[in-house]
Amino acid sequence: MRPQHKGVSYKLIETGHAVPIDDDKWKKMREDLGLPPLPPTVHSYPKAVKEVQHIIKKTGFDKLVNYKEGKEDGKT
Amino acid sequence: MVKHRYSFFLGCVIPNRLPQIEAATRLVVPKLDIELVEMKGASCCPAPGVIKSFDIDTWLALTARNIALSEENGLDILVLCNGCYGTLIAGVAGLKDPDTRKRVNKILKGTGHQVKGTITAKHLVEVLYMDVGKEAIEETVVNPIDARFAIHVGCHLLKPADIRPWGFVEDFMLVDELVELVGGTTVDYKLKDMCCGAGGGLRSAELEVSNDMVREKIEAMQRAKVDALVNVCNFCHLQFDVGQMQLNNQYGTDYQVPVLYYTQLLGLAQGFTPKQMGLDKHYISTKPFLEKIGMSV
Repeated sequence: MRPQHKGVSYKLIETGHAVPIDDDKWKKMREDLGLPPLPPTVHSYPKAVKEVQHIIKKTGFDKLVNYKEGKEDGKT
Repeated sequence: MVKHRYSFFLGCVIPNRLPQIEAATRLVVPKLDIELVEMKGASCCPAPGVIKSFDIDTWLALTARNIALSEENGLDILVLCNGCYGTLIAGVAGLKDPDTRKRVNKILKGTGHQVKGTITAKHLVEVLYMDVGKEAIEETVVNPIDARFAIHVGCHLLKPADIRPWGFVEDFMLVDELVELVGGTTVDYKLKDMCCGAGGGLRSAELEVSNDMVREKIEAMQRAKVDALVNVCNFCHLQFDVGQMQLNNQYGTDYQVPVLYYTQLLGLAQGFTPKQMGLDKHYISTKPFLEKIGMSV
């Protein structure tokens, strides 16, 4: 597994999105377009992120990609 | 009463990188008698190229959770991204098998969701072409767009064909027809059916190879003298828009083919302004195209 693909997996584990809002400029862009700063996805529902993490722990995907909470371990 | 109702699956790239496509779609579809119902707390589809390639159960359980959210809405899903569509429709097909559903529901236990296999996922093209219909779309056009367009359909919209609604994959002209409905001329070009180069984890891991595919397709479009490219997948959209900019920065080229998602084009034809369609948010300027059709951002 490439480090870049591990990196995408870590974003999914941490936020529920493989491509999350990770900079305020994206919130600003949404607001410029008349949208709420955060979409009605996992980004607006912390409980939903927990559900995603629950699934990932159950399947062992976190171990498969060598994810360690709080550590950026994509650089093998 | 609204004629068509769907759960609106946003995915990742649209809300978090290309919200102009979300904004345009939310403005355009009510004119087609479509109501979009939110899928509160939906996650990544998850991405077929990266997640499915590494672990089928994780991929299937996460997509099952998204499908369950739409089942809780009691609605089929409308999806704008080819990759998300590929994941969701494969999930729908796989979860028809009772043993698979039982296995996945064991994984979902503790999330508060269970999947039943009662709904399906439809790509925007299917909703427009098969549910809404060409006549109803044409009726909303107040400002025909007279320009030459290259159509890029994308891979996951068509294949695997056995779990797609089209019945064919060669010479797929439905998107061309949708563009012609708003007054556009679609132009044949070499490599029209070739992948954009974004999916399958290619863009994230092999950017140079990925952007070389953009170069090949964009040069073919330029030779065909198109005014803009129209796509029906946000990841293809990002690939062409950002890819041209990256190529120009890296190699000093001057690729300038404006990139529009179909709902942005339809919105212009329905009388919305370029700004409402987010055409000022693109990496490759849409100005030359807008000038050609007598508009400005």
